[in-house]
Amino acid sequence: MDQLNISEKVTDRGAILVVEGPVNSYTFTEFQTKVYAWSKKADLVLDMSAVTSLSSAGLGVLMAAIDDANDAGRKLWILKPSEIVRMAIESTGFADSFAMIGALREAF
Amino acid sequence: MGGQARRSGAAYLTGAIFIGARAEFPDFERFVDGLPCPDEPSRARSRLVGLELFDNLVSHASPLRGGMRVRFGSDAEGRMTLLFAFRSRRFRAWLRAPGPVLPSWSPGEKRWRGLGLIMVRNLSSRVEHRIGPSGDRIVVTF
Repeated sequence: MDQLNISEKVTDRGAILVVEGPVNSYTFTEFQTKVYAWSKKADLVLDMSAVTSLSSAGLGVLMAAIDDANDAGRKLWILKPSEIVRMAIESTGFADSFAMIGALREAF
Repeated sequence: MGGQARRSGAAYLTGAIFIGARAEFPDFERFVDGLPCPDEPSRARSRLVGLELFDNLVSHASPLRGGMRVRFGSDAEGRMTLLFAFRSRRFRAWLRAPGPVLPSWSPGEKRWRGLGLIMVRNLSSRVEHRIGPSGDRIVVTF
């Protein structure tokens, strides 16, 4: 899959972004814009089950968004990360900073 | 593309040449997806490392003189190897510039720096940068 697709769902408890495709420096502008916007104003779940790759650029966005959410008193979860997303996160040594969940009910 | 060559004990099974442009991301992604990796974890590692290096070379080495040759194969001990060969003065200048040794937040750029390097290090067993008369080579052994 060459394209990155991000769909948004807003609930009364927070926002859900469903991310599909590769997150790299070629595609991450939309990812950055949407994640930064939502992480500051709502509890946010990122469904990353269909992400096919995650570069350091995308990881940097996630780490900054987690900090933004914490500063704003919000929470950010990664829902069902694909194996390649989990591998990328663990490779940074910062896996403990990421709240990874297997089901939406674990968030809200 | 294709063919088999031996150099420094490595047997290369497949390869491709890229210009080194950001627009080639989809082509490079298809290339790494087609690599003959032995299992899915190996494929995921080679995909993450390959895309990260390609991304960095596009950002810090282009324009390249003669393009970027990428080869995939195995070394004398049967370990997967990924080789990037290119010629770029800009890349050598970038290497000499001070940069973060560990991942750190850059307030001025509003982004994390140094994550890619640690990713590549932790997803492979060895990363070498070789400089020779024919240009630069980055060899990753998994």
